[in-house]
Amino acid sequence: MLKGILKRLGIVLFVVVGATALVFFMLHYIPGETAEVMARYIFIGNIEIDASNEDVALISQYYELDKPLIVQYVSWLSKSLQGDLGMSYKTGQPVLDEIMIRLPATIKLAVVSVLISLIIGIPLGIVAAIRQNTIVDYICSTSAAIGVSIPNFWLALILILVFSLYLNLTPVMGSGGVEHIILPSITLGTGMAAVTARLTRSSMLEVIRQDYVRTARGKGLSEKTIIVRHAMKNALIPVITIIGLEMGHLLGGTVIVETIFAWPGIGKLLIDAISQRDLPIIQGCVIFITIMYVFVNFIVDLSYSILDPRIRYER
Amino acid sequence: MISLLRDVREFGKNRAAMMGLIVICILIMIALLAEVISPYDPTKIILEDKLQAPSIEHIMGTDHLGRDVLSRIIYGSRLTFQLSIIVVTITAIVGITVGIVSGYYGGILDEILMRFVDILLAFPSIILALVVIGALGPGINNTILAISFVGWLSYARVSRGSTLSIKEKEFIECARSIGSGDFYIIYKHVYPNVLYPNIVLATLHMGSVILTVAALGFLGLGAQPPTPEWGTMLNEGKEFLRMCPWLSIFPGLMIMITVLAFNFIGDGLRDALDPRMKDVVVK
Repeated sequence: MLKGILKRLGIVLFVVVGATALVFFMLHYIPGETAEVMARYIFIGNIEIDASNEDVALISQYYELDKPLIVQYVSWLSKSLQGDLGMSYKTGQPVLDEIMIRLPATIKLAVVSVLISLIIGIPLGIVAAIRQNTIVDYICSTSAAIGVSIPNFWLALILILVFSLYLNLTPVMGSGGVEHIILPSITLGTGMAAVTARLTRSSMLEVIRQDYVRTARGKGLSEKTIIVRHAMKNALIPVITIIGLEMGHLLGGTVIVETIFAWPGIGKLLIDAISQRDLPIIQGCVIFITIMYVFVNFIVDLSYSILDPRIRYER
Repeated sequence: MISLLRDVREFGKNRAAMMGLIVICILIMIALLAEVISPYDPTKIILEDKLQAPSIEHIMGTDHLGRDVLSRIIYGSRLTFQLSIIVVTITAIVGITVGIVSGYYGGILDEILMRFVDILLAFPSIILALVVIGALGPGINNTILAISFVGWLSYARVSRGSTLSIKEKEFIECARSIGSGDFYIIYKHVYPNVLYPNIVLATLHMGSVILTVAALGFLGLGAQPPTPEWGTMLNEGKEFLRMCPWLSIFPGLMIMITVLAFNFIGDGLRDALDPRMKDVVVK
Protein backbone atom coordinates (compact mmCIF):
# COMPACT_ATOMS: atom_id res chain seq x y z
CA MET A 1 0.00 0.00 0.00
CA LEU A 2 2.64 2.54 1.08
CA LYS A 3 4.77 1.70 -1.92
CA GLY A 4 1.81 2.27 -4.19
CA ILE A 5 1.06 5.62 -2.58
CA LEU A 6 4.68 6.75 -2.91
CA LYS A 7 4.70 5.73 -6.55
CA ARG A 8 1.52 7.71 -7.16
CA LEU A 9 3.01 10.67 -5.35
CA GLY A 10 6.06 10.46 -7.61
CA ILE A 11 3.82 10.58 -10.68
CA VAL A 12 1.93 13.54 -9.21
CA LEU A 13 5.16 15.47 -8.64
CA PHE A 14 6.37 14.68 -12.17
CA VAL A 15 3.08 15.88 -13.60
CA VAL A 16 3.11 19.09 -11.57
CA VAL A 17 6.67 19.96 -12.61
CA GLY A 18 5.84 19.08 -16.22
CA ALA A 19 2.75 21.24 -16.10
CA THR A 20 4.60 24.25 -14.73
CA ALA A 21 7.24 23.84 -17.43
CA LEU A 22 4.57 23.65 -20.12
CA VAL A 23 2.82 26.79 -18.90
CA PHE A 24 6.12 28.63 -18.55
CA PHE A 25 7.28 27.76 -22.06
CA MET A 26 3.94 28.56 -23.62
CA LEU A 27 3.70 31.98 -21.98
CA HIS A 28 7.34 32.86 -22.66
CA TYR A 29 7.34 31.74 -26.25
CA ILE A 30 7.03 35.39 -27.25
CA PRO A 31 10.15 36.80 -25.55
CA GLY A 32 10.45 40.16 -27.30
CA GLU A 33 6.88 41.06 -26.70
CA THR A 34 7.05 40.05 -23.05
CA ALA A 35 9.96 42.37 -22.36
CA GLU A 36 8.17 45.12 -24.26
CA VAL A 37 4.95 44.62 -22.28
CA MET A 38 6.81 44.51 -18.99
CA ALA A 39 8.69 47.69 -19.81
CA ARG A 40 5.42 49.44 -20.63
CA TYR A 41 3.99 48.47 -17.28
CA ILE A 42 6.96 49.04 -15.08
CA PHE A 43 8.40 52.26 -16.50
CA ILE A 44 5.31 53.89 -17.95
CA GLY A 45 2.44 52.26 -16.08
CA ASN A 46 0.34 52.17 -19.22
CA ILE A 47 0.19 49.30 -21.68
CA GLU A 48 -0.92 51.57 -24.53
CA ILE A 49 2.27 53.64 -24.67
CA ASP A 50 5.38 52.23 -26.33
CA ALA A 51 8.46 51.83 -24.18
CA SER A 52 11.87 53.04 -25.26
CA ASN A 53 14.44 50.52 -26.48
CA GLU A 54 16.71 51.14 -23.48
CA ASP A 55 13.87 50.33 -21.09
CA VAL A 56 13.11 47.10 -22.94
CA ALA A 57 16.78 46.12 -22.88
CA LEU A 58 17.02 46.88 -19.17
CA ILE A 59 13.98 44.77 -18.37
CA SER A 60 15.07 41.83 -20.45
CA GLN A 61 18.47 41.92 -18.79
CA TYR A 62 17.03 42.20 -15.28
CA TYR A 63 14.54 39.38 -15.75
CA GLU A 64 17.12 37.30 -17.66
CA LEU A 65 14.82 37.33 -20.68
CA ASP A 66 17.87 37.22 -22.98
CA LYS A 67 18.95 33.85 -21.55
CA PRO A 68 17.70 30.57 -23.02
CA LEU A 69 14.20 29.56 -21.91
CA ILE A 70 15.42 26.55 -20.00
CA VAL A 71 17.71 28.73 -17.84
CA GLN A 72 14.84 31.12 -17.21
CA TYR A 73 12.61 28.24 -16.23
CA VAL A 74 15.07 26.74 -13.77
CA SER A 75 15.64 30.10 -12.12
CA TRP A 76 11.87 30.70 -12.02
CA LEU A 77 11.25 27.26 -10.52
CA SER A 78 13.82 27.70 -7.78
CA LYS A 79 12.37 31.12 -6.95
CA SER A 80 8.81 29.84 -6.88
CA LEU A 81 9.76 26.97 -4.60
CA GLN A 82 10.75 29.70 -2.14
CA GLY A 83 7.34 31.29 -2.57
CA ASP A 84 8.38 33.97 -5.05
CA LEU A 85 6.10 33.76 -8.07
CA GLY A 86 7.09 37.17 -9.38
CA MET A 87 5.15 40.42 -9.38
CA SER A 88 1.98 41.45 -11.11
CA TYR A 89 2.69 43.86 -13.97
CA LYS A 90 -0.53 45.63 -13.21
CA THR A 91 -0.49 46.20 -9.47
CA GLY A 92 3.15 45.53 -8.62
CA GLN A 93 2.00 43.22 -5.81
CA PRO A 94 3.63 39.78 -5.38
CA VAL A 95 1.67 37.17 -7.38
CA LEU A 96 1.51 34.85 -4.39
CA ASP A 97 -0.21 37.52 -2.26
CA GLU A 98 -2.70 38.31 -5.01
CA ILE A 99 -3.60 34.64 -5.25
CA MET A 100 -3.70 33.98 -1.52
CA ILE A 101 -6.14 36.83 -0.93
CA ARG A 102 -8.52 35.27 -3.44
CA LEU A 103 -7.99 31.59 -2.78
CA PRO A 104 -10.48 31.28 0.14
CA ALA A 105 -13.31 32.71 -1.98
CA THR A 106 -12.70 30.16 -4.73
CA ILE A 107 -12.45 27.27 -2.28
CA LYS A 108 -15.65 28.37 -0.53
CA LEU A 109 -17.50 28.50 -3.84
CA ALA A 110 -16.11 25.13 -4.92
CA VAL A 111 -17.05 23.36 -1.68
CA VAL A 112 -20.60 24.72 -1.63
CA SER A 113 -21.04 23.78 -5.30
CA VAL A 114 -19.86 20.22 -4.69
CA LEU A 115 -22.25 19.91 -1.74
CA ILE A 116 -25.15 21.17 -3.84
CA SER A 117 -24.31 18.76 -6.63
CA LEU A 118 -24.23 15.82 -4.22
CA ILE A 119 -27.46 16.85 -2.48
CA ILE A 120 -29.27 17.06 -5.82
CA GLY A 121 -27.45 14.36 -7.77
CA ILE A 122 -27.36 11.40 -5.39
CA PRO A 123 -31.10 11.23 -4.54
CA LEU A 124 -32.00 11.72 -8.22
CA GLY A 125 -29.67 8.91 -9.25
CA ILE A 126 -30.96 6.52 -6.58
CA VAL A 127 -34.60 7.19 -7.37
CA ALA A 128 -33.94 6.73 -11.08
CA ALA A 129 -32.21 3.40 -10.42
CA ILE A 130 -34.91 2.04 -8.11
CA ARG A 131 -37.63 3.01 -10.56
CA GLN A 132 -35.64 1.92 -13.62
CA ASN A 133 -37.44 2.27 -16.96
CA THR A 134 -40.40 4.08 -15.46
CA ILE A 135 -41.50 7.63 -16.14
CA VAL A 136 -39.57 8.75 -13.03
CA ASP A 137 -36.39 7.30 -14.46
CA TYR A 138 -36.93 9.02 -17.81
CA ILE A 139 -37.57 12.37 -16.16
CA CYS A 140 -34.41 12.03 -14.05
CA SER A 141 -32.29 10.94 -17.02
CA THR A 142 -33.59 13.70 -19.25
CA SER A 143 -32.99 16.36 -16.62
CA ALA A 144 -29.48 14.99 -16.20
CA ALA A 145 -28.89 15.21 -19.96
CA ILE A 146 -30.13 18.80 -19.97
CA GLY A 147 -28.01 19.59 -16.91
CA VAL A 148 -24.88 18.41 -18.74
CA SER A 149 -25.68 20.34 -21.91
CA ILE A 150 -26.69 23.65 -20.41
CA PRO A 151 -23.91 26.24 -20.76
CA ASN A 152 -23.07 27.43 -17.24
CA PHE A 153 -22.66 31.04 -18.31
CA TRP A 154 -26.16 31.00 -19.75
CA LEU A 155 -27.63 29.31 -16.71
CA ALA A 156 -26.02 32.04 -14.61
CA LEU A 157 -27.67 34.76 -16.71
CA ILE A 158 -31.07 33.06 -16.52
CA LEU A 159 -30.77 32.66 -12.74
CA ILE A 160 -29.82 36.32 -12.38
CA LEU A 161 -32.72 37.29 -14.61
CA VAL A 162 -35.29 35.31 -12.65
CA PHE A 163 -34.08 35.48 -9.04
CA SER A 164 -32.26 38.81 -8.93
CA LEU A 165 -33.94 41.03 -11.49
CA TYR A 166 -37.54 39.78 -11.52
CA LEU A 167 -38.03 38.33 -8.04
CA ASN A 168 -35.45 40.48 -6.26
CA LEU A 169 -34.51 37.58 -3.99
CA THR A 170 -30.73 37.58 -4.40
CA PRO A 171 -28.07 40.17 -5.18
CA VAL A 172 -26.86 40.25 -8.79
CA MET A 173 -23.17 40.09 -7.96
CA GLY A 174 -20.51 40.62 -5.36
CA SER A 175 -19.58 38.64 -2.30
CA GLY A 176 -19.93 38.73 1.44
CA GLY A 177 -23.10 37.25 2.88
CA VAL A 178 -24.72 33.87 2.37
CA GLU A 179 -27.11 35.37 -0.17
CA HIS A 180 -24.20 36.10 -2.52
CA ILE A 181 -23.08 32.51 -2.83
CA ILE A 182 -26.50 31.03 -3.69
CA LEU A 183 -26.65 31.75 -7.41
CA PRO A 184 -22.97 31.09 -8.27
CA SER A 185 -22.96 27.78 -6.44
CA ILE A 186 -26.26 26.65 -7.99
CA THR A 187 -24.83 27.54 -11.41
CA LEU A 188 -21.74 25.45 -10.81
CA GLY A 189 -23.54 22.70 -8.94
CA THR A 190 -26.16 21.97 -11.62
CA GLY A 191 -23.85 20.54 -14.25
CA MET A 192 -22.05 18.46 -11.64
CA ALA A 193 -25.34 17.28 -10.15
CA ALA A 194 -26.29 15.92 -13.55
CA VAL A 195 -23.08 13.91 -13.83
CA THR A 196 -23.42 12.73 -10.22
CA ALA A 197 -26.99 11.56 -10.87
CA ARG A 198 -25.91 9.60 -13.94
CA LEU A 199 -23.07 7.90 -12.14
CA THR A 200 -25.13 7.16 -9.02
CA ARG A 201 -27.83 5.60 -11.19
CA SER A 202 -25.53 3.27 -13.09
CA SER A 203 -23.60 2.31 -9.98
CA MET A 204 -26.82 1.66 -8.05
CA LEU A 205 -28.20 -0.48 -10.89
CA GLU A 206 -25.08 -2.60 -10.76
CA VAL A 207 -25.25 -3.07 -7.00
CA ILE A 208 -28.97 -3.86 -6.90
CA ARG A 209 -28.38 -6.91 -9.11
CA GLN A 210 -25.76 -8.42 -6.85
CA ASP A 211 -26.25 -11.58 -4.84
CA TYR A 212 -26.03 -10.03 -1.42
CA VAL A 213 -28.91 -7.69 -2.22
CA ARG A 214 -30.94 -10.68 -3.36
CA THR A 215 -30.06 -12.39 -0.08
CA ALA A 216 -31.25 -9.37 1.87
CA ARG A 217 -34.48 -9.44 -0.09
CA GLY A 218 -34.78 -13.19 0.55
CA LYS A 219 -34.41 -12.58 4.25
CA GLY A 220 -37.55 -10.51 4.01
CA LEU A 221 -36.02 -7.11 4.73
CA SER A 222 -38.05 -4.13 3.70
CA GLU A 223 -37.12 -2.46 0.42
CA LYS A 224 -36.16 0.69 2.29
CA THR A 225 -33.70 -1.15 4.56
CA ILE A 226 -32.17 -2.91 1.57
CA ILE A 227 -31.59 0.31 -0.32
CA VAL A 228 -30.44 2.46 2.58
CA ARG A 229 -28.42 -0.03 4.62
CA HIS A 230 -27.13 -2.46 2.03
CA ALA A 231 -27.12 -1.18 -1.52
CA MET A 232 -26.33 2.50 -1.01
CA LYS A 233 -23.07 1.92 0.85
CA ASN A 234 -21.47 0.14 -2.06
CA ALA A 235 -23.17 2.17 -4.75
CA LEU A 236 -21.84 5.45 -3.43
CA ILE A 237 -18.15 4.51 -3.50
CA PRO A 238 -17.72 5.23 -7.23
CA VAL A 239 -19.55 8.50 -6.72
CA ILE A 240 -16.50 9.75 -4.81
CA THR A 241 -14.51 9.67 -8.03
CA ILE A 242 -16.95 12.16 -9.41
CA ILE A 243 -15.53 14.77 -7.07
CA GLY A 244 -12.13 14.19 -8.64
CA LEU A 245 -13.38 14.08 -12.20
CA GLU A 246 -15.65 17.04 -11.78
CA MET A 247 -12.98 19.11 -10.09
CA GLY A 248 -11.77 19.98 -13.59
CA HIS A 249 -15.20 21.14 -14.61
CA LEU A 250 -15.54 22.97 -11.34
CA LEU A 251 -12.24 24.84 -11.51
CA GLY A 252 -12.84 25.62 -15.18
CA GLY A 253 -16.37 26.69 -14.34
CA THR A 254 -15.27 28.98 -11.51
CA VAL A 255 -13.41 31.03 -14.10
CA ILE A 256 -16.64 31.78 -15.92
CA VAL A 257 -18.98 31.95 -12.95
CA GLU A 258 -16.68 34.17 -10.89
CA THR A 259 -16.45 36.55 -13.83
CA ILE A 260 -20.22 36.77 -14.20
CA PHE A 261 -20.99 37.20 -10.51
CA ALA A 262 -17.90 39.33 -9.79
CA TRP A 263 -16.92 36.75 -7.20
CA PRO A 264 -13.44 37.74 -5.98
CA GLY A 265 -11.67 34.40 -6.58
CA ILE A 266 -8.76 33.07 -8.61
CA GLY A 267 -10.91 32.52 -11.68
CA LYS A 268 -11.81 36.18 -12.00
CA LEU A 269 -8.19 37.12 -11.32
CA LEU A 270 -7.12 34.85 -14.20
CA ILE A 271 -9.59 36.27 -16.71
CA ASP A 272 -8.73 39.85 -15.78
CA ALA A 273 -5.04 39.00 -16.10
CA ILE A 274 -5.57 37.49 -19.56
CA SER A 275 -7.30 40.60 -20.86
CA GLN A 276 -4.53 42.76 -19.37
CA ARG A 277 -1.76 40.40 -20.54
CA ASP A 278 -0.45 40.22 -16.98
CA LEU A 279 1.73 37.16 -17.56
CA PRO A 280 3.01 36.51 -14.00
CA ILE A 281 -0.58 36.47 -12.72
CA ILE A 282 -1.78 34.22 -15.56
CA GLN A 283 1.09 31.86 -14.84
CA GLY A 284 0.52 31.86 -11.09
CA CYS A 285 -3.24 31.28 -11.35
CA VAL A 286 -2.93 28.48 -13.88
CA ILE A 287 -0.27 26.73 -11.86
CA PHE A 288 -2.30 27.07 -8.65
CA ILE A 289 -5.46 25.76 -10.28
CA THR A 290 -3.56 22.86 -11.82
CA ILE A 291 -1.91 21.89 -8.55
CA MET A 292 -5.27 21.97 -6.79
CA TYR A 293 -6.77 19.79 -9.51
CA VAL A 294 -3.95 17.25 -9.43
CA PHE A 295 -3.90 16.95 -5.65
CA VAL A 296 -7.65 16.66 -5.25
CA ASN A 297 -7.54 13.80 -7.74
CA PHE A 298 -4.67 12.23 -5.85
CA ILE A 299 -6.60 12.39 -2.57
CA VAL A 300 -9.76 11.08 -4.22
CA ASP A 301 -7.76 8.16 -5.61
CA LEU A 302 -6.36 7.41 -2.19
CA SER A 303 -9.69 7.59 -0.37
CA TYR A 304 -11.18 5.39 -3.05
CA SER A 305 -8.71 2.63 -2.32
CA ILE A 306 -9.25 2.98 1.43
CA LEU A 307 -13.05 2.83 1.15
CA ASP A 308 -13.07 -0.05 -1.31
CA PRO A 309 -10.51 -2.65 -0.19
CA ARG A 310 -10.96 -4.49 -3.48
CA ILE A 311 -8.94 -1.76 -5.14
CA ARG A 312 -5.24 -1.83 -4.42
CA TYR A 313 -2.30 0.07 -5.75
CA GLU A 314 0.06 -2.85 -6.21
CA ARG A 315 -0.95 -3.29 -9.81
CA MET B 1 -22.35 -5.75 -42.83
CA ILE B 2 -25.04 -7.56 -40.87
CA SER B 3 -23.62 -6.23 -37.64
CA LEU B 4 -23.67 -2.72 -39.08
CA LEU B 5 -27.36 -3.11 -39.98
CA ARG B 6 -28.06 -4.33 -36.47
CA ASP B 7 -26.23 -1.35 -35.02
CA VAL B 8 -28.20 1.05 -37.19
CA ARG B 9 -31.48 -0.57 -36.11
CA GLU B 10 -30.40 -0.46 -32.48
CA PHE B 11 -29.63 3.23 -32.90
CA GLY B 12 -32.95 3.84 -34.64
CA LYS B 13 -34.84 2.43 -31.69
CA ASN B 14 -33.32 5.03 -29.39
CA ARG B 15 -35.88 7.83 -29.45
CA ALA B 16 -33.71 10.50 -27.84
CA ALA B 17 -30.86 9.76 -30.27
CA MET B 18 -33.17 9.97 -33.30
CA MET B 19 -34.55 13.26 -32.04
CA GLY B 20 -31.00 14.54 -31.65
CA LEU B 21 -30.18 13.44 -35.19
CA ILE B 22 -33.21 15.24 -36.61
CA VAL B 23 -32.37 18.42 -34.70
CA ILE B 24 -28.77 18.36 -35.94
CA CYS B 25 -29.91 17.76 -39.54
CA ILE B 26 -32.24 20.76 -39.31
CA LEU B 27 -29.49 22.91 -37.79
CA ILE B 28 -27.03 21.89 -40.51
CA MET B 29 -29.61 22.82 -43.16
CA ILE B 30 -30.09 26.20 -41.46
CA ALA B 31 -26.33 26.74 -41.37
CA LEU B 32 -25.93 25.81 -45.04
CA LEU B 33 -28.85 27.94 -46.20
CA ALA B 34 -28.04 30.94 -44.00
CA GLU B 35 -28.07 33.43 -46.92
CA VAL B 36 -31.43 32.18 -48.14
CA ILE B 37 -33.39 31.97 -44.93
CA SER B 38 -32.00 34.71 -42.73
CA PRO B 39 -34.38 37.66 -42.96
CA TYR B 40 -31.75 40.41 -42.48
CA ASP B 41 -28.03 41.04 -42.83
CA PRO B 42 -26.52 39.77 -39.56
CA THR B 43 -23.94 42.56 -39.28
CA LYS B 44 -25.88 45.50 -40.68
CA ILE B 45 -26.25 48.22 -38.06
CA ILE B 46 -29.54 50.13 -38.00
CA LEU B 47 -29.44 52.28 -34.89
CA GLU B 48 -33.08 53.43 -35.18
CA ASP B 49 -34.17 49.81 -34.68
CA LYS B 50 -32.02 49.08 -31.65
CA LEU B 51 -33.17 46.96 -28.69
CA GLN B 52 -36.59 46.11 -30.08
CA ALA B 53 -38.53 43.37 -28.35
CA PRO B 54 -39.45 40.27 -30.40
CA SER B 55 -42.15 41.10 -32.94
CA ILE B 56 -43.41 39.92 -36.33
CA GLU B 57 -40.62 41.78 -38.13
CA HIS B 58 -37.89 40.69 -35.77
CA ILE B 59 -38.91 37.33 -34.34
CA MET B 60 -36.11 37.31 -31.78
CA GLY B 61 -35.85 41.08 -31.43
CA THR B 62 -32.89 43.31 -32.23
CA ASP B 63 -29.67 44.01 -30.34
CA HIS B 64 -28.07 47.23 -29.14
CA LEU B 65 -26.93 48.10 -32.66
CA GLY B 66 -30.28 47.30 -34.26
CA ARG B 67 -29.09 44.02 -35.79
CA ASP B 68 -31.68 41.26 -36.17
CA VAL B 69 -31.04 38.60 -33.53
CA LEU B 70 -32.61 35.77 -35.54
CA SER B 71 -30.31 36.45 -38.50
CA ARG B 72 -27.31 36.58 -36.21
CA ILE B 73 -28.32 33.26 -34.66
CA ILE B 74 -28.68 31.67 -38.10
CA TYR B 75 -25.23 32.87 -39.17
CA GLY B 76 -23.96 31.93 -35.73
CA SER B 77 -25.01 28.33 -36.31
CA ARG B 78 -22.87 28.29 -39.44
CA LEU B 79 -19.86 29.54 -37.53
CA THR B 80 -20.48 27.13 -34.66
CA PHE B 81 -20.63 24.12 -36.96
CA GLN B 82 -17.58 25.24 -38.95
CA LEU B 83 -15.49 25.76 -35.84
CA SER B 84 -16.52 22.58 -34.09
CA ILE B 85 -16.12 20.40 -37.19
CA ILE B 86 -12.64 21.83 -37.79
CA VAL B 87 -11.63 21.24 -34.17
CA VAL B 88 -13.08 17.75 -33.98
CA THR B 89 -11.44 16.75 -37.29
CA ILE B 90 -8.02 18.07 -36.30
CA THR B 91 -8.12 16.56 -32.83
CA ALA B 92 -9.49 13.20 -33.99
CA ILE B 93 -6.78 12.80 -36.64
CA VAL B 94 -3.98 13.84 -34.29
CA GLY B 95 -5.33 11.85 -31.35
CA ILE B 96 -6.03 8.64 -33.27
CA THR B 97 -2.62 8.79 -34.95
CA VAL B 98 -0.78 9.38 -31.69
CA GLY B 99 -2.82 6.70 -29.92
CA ILE B 100 -2.26 4.02 -32.58
CA VAL B 101 1.44 4.78 -33.02
CA SER B 102 1.96 4.88 -29.28
CA GLY B 103 0.07 1.66 -28.64
CA TYR B 104 1.40 -0.24 -31.66
CA TYR B 105 5.09 0.51 -31.33
CA GLY B 106 5.20 0.76 -27.54
CA GLY B 107 8.57 1.19 -25.88
CA ILE B 108 10.23 4.52 -25.22
CA LEU B 109 8.06 6.38 -27.74
CA ASP B 110 4.91 5.21 -25.98
CA GLU B 111 6.40 6.18 -22.64
CA ILE B 112 7.25 9.72 -23.77
CA LEU B 113 3.94 10.33 -25.52
CA MET B 114 1.90 9.05 -22.60
CA ARG B 115 3.82 11.10 -20.05
CA PHE B 116 3.12 14.16 -22.20
CA VAL B 117 -0.57 13.19 -22.21
CA ASP B 118 -0.44 12.86 -18.41
CA ILE B 119 0.92 16.39 -18.13
CA LEU B 120 -1.76 17.84 -20.40
CA LEU B 121 -4.46 15.95 -18.49
CA ALA B 122 -3.29 17.69 -15.32
CA PHE B 123 -5.01 20.86 -16.51
CA PRO B 124 -8.72 21.47 -16.35
CA SER B 125 -9.29 21.66 -20.12
CA ILE B 126 -10.63 25.20 -20.38
CA ILE B 127 -7.73 26.45 -18.25
CA LEU B 128 -5.20 25.16 -20.76
CA ALA B 129 -7.21 26.75 -23.55
CA LEU B 130 -7.02 29.98 -21.59
CA VAL B 131 -3.22 29.70 -21.36
CA VAL B 132 -2.99 29.34 -25.14
CA ILE B 133 -5.21 32.37 -25.61
CA GLY B 134 -3.30 34.21 -22.90
CA ALA B 135 -0.11 33.61 -24.87
CA LEU B 136 -1.46 34.22 -28.39
CA GLY B 137 -4.29 36.67 -27.78
CA PRO B 138 -8.03 36.34 -28.49
CA GLY B 139 -9.65 35.51 -31.84
CA ILE B 140 -11.26 32.71 -33.82
CA ASN B 141 -8.06 31.08 -35.08
CA ASN B 142 -6.53 31.07 -31.63
CA THR B 143 -9.76 29.60 -30.27
CA ILE B 144 -9.43 26.69 -32.70
CA LEU B 145 -5.80 26.25 -31.74
CA ALA B 146 -6.50 26.50 -28.02
CA ILE B 147 -9.31 23.96 -27.99
CA SER B 148 -7.45 21.57 -30.31
CA PHE B 149 -4.44 21.70 -28.05
CA VAL B 150 -6.36 19.80 -25.36
CA GLY B 151 -8.99 18.05 -27.48
CA TRP B 152 -6.89 15.23 -28.92
CA LEU B 153 -6.12 13.66 -25.55
CA SER B 154 -9.27 11.55 -25.25
CA TYR B 155 -8.85 10.20 -28.79
CA ALA B 156 -5.24 9.28 -28.08
CA ARG B 157 -6.10 7.42 -24.90
CA VAL B 158 -9.04 5.53 -26.38
CA SER B 159 -7.10 4.64 -29.55
CA ARG B 160 -4.06 3.54 -27.60
CA GLY B 161 -6.16 1.29 -25.38
CA SER B 162 -7.92 -0.34 -28.34
CA THR B 163 -4.64 -0.74 -30.21
CA LEU B 164 -3.01 -2.45 -27.25
CA SER B 165 -5.78 -5.04 -27.04
CA ILE B 166 -5.95 -5.62 -30.82
CA LYS B 167 -2.20 -5.91 -31.12
CA GLU B 168 -2.25 -9.15 -29.14
CA LYS B 169 -4.93 -10.79 -31.30
CA GLU B 170 -4.01 -13.77 -33.42
CA PHE B 171 -5.02 -12.28 -36.76
CA ILE B 172 -2.36 -9.62 -36.32
CA GLU B 173 0.23 -12.32 -35.81
CA CYS B 174 -1.09 -14.12 -38.91
CA ALA B 175 -0.85 -10.93 -40.93
CA ARG B 176 2.71 -10.47 -39.77
CA SER B 177 3.64 -14.05 -40.52
CA ILE B 178 2.54 -13.70 -44.14
CA GLY B 179 4.87 -10.74 -44.42
CA SER B 180 2.60 -7.72 -44.01
CA GLY B 181 4.41 -4.54 -43.07
CA ASP B 182 3.58 -2.39 -40.05
CA PHE B 183 1.88 0.29 -42.10
CA TYR B 184 -0.33 -2.25 -43.87
CA ILE B 185 -1.31 -3.91 -40.59
CA ILE B 186 -2.14 -0.59 -38.97
CA TYR B 187 -4.15 0.59 -41.94
CA LYS B 188 -5.95 -2.67 -42.66
CA HIS B 189 -6.44 -4.21 -39.23
CA VAL B 190 -5.81 -1.81 -36.37
CA TYR B 191 -7.36 1.37 -37.70
CA PRO B 192 -10.84 -0.04 -38.54
CA ASN B 193 -11.09 -1.57 -35.08
CA VAL B 194 -10.06 1.63 -33.36
CA LEU B 195 -12.58 3.68 -35.30
CA TYR B 196 -15.80 2.63 -33.53
CA PRO B 197 -15.13 4.00 -30.05
CA ASN B 198 -13.67 7.13 -31.64
CA ILE B 199 -16.89 7.82 -33.54
CA VAL B 200 -18.76 7.87 -30.23
CA LEU B 201 -16.09 10.07 -28.75
CA ALA B 202 -16.20 12.50 -31.68
CA THR B 203 -19.95 12.96 -31.34
CA LEU B 204 -19.76 13.71 -27.64
CA HIS B 205 -16.73 15.89 -28.34
CA MET B 206 -18.78 18.04 -30.75
CA GLY B 207 -20.99 19.01 -27.83
CA SER B 208 -18.13 19.90 -25.53
CA VAL B 209 -16.30 21.85 -28.25
CA ILE B 210 -19.42 23.91 -28.94
CA LEU B 211 -19.68 24.68 -25.22
CA THR B 212 -16.02 25.70 -24.97
CA VAL B 213 -16.16 27.86 -28.11
CA ALA B 214 -19.19 29.63 -26.71
CA ALA B 215 -17.61 29.96 -23.28
CA LEU B 216 -14.51 31.63 -24.76
CA GLY B 217 -16.76 33.86 -26.86
CA PHE B 218 -18.71 34.75 -23.75
CA LEU B 219 -15.51 35.69 -21.90
CA GLY B 220 -14.66 37.98 -24.81
CA LEU B 221 -11.66 35.82 -25.75
CA GLY B 222 -13.14 33.96 -28.73
CA ALA B 223 -14.72 35.37 -31.87
CA GLN B 224 -14.63 39.15 -31.71
CA PRO B 225 -17.57 41.46 -32.45
CA PRO B 226 -19.20 41.99 -34.90
CA THR B 227 -18.88 38.28 -35.73
CA PRO B 228 -22.22 36.61 -35.05
CA GLU B 229 -21.06 33.88 -32.66
CA TRP B 230 -23.45 32.59 -30.02
CA GLY B 231 -21.14 33.04 -27.04
CA THR B 232 -20.03 36.48 -28.23
CA MET B 233 -23.70 37.44 -28.70
CA LEU B 234 -24.39 36.42 -25.10
CA ASN B 235 -21.45 38.51 -23.95
CA GLU B 236 -22.79 41.57 -25.77
CA GLY B 237 -26.35 40.90 -24.64
CA LYS B 238 -25.65 40.47 -20.95
CA GLU B 239 -25.26 44.23 -20.50
CA PHE B 240 -28.94 44.57 -21.32
CA LEU B 241 -30.15 41.61 -19.28
CA ARG B 242 -32.87 43.47 -17.38
CA MET B 243 -34.31 45.50 -20.23
CA CYS B 244 -33.76 43.12 -23.13
CA PRO B 245 -33.58 39.54 -21.87
CA TRP B 246 -34.16 38.16 -25.38
CA LEU B 247 -30.59 39.10 -26.27
CA SER B 248 -29.41 36.59 -23.68
CA ILE B 249 -32.14 33.97 -23.85
CA PHE B 250 -32.07 32.97 -27.53
CA PRO B 251 -28.34 32.44 -28.17
CA GLY B 252 -28.03 30.41 -24.98
CA LEU B 253 -31.06 28.35 -25.87
CA MET B 254 -29.49 27.54 -29.25
CA ILE B 255 -26.23 26.46 -27.62
CA MET B 256 -28.11 24.21 -25.22
CA ILE B 257 -30.29 22.61 -27.90
CA THR B 258 -27.31 21.91 -30.16
CA VAL B 259 -25.17 20.45 -27.38
CA LEU B 260 -28.08 18.39 -26.07
CA ALA B 261 -28.72 16.98 -29.55
CA PHE B 262 -25.09 15.94 -29.97
CA ASN B 263 -25.04 14.38 -26.52
CA PHE B 264 -28.21 12.40 -27.28
CA ILE B 265 -26.69 11.13 -30.53
CA GLY B 266 -23.44 10.29 -28.77
CA ASP B 267 -25.21 8.36 -26.01
CA GLY B 268 -27.30 6.49 -28.59
CA LEU B 269 -24.26 5.63 -30.68
CA ARG B 270 -22.41 4.42 -27.61
CA ASP B 271 -25.28 2.14 -26.58
CA ALA B 272 -25.61 0.79 -30.13
CA LEU B 273 -21.94 0.41 -31.03
CA ASP B 274 -20.14 -0.30 -27.83
CA PRO B 275 -22.13 -0.86 -24.66
CA ARG B 276 -18.93 -1.35 -22.69
CA MET B 277 -17.92 2.25 -23.19
CA LYS B 278 -20.41 3.47 -20.61
CA ASP B 279 -17.99 5.56 -18.65
CA VAL B 280 -16.09 7.46 -21.30
CA VAL B 281 -15.58 10.97 -20.07
CA VAL B 282 -14.87 13.61 -22.64
CA LYS B 283 -12.29 16.07 -21.47
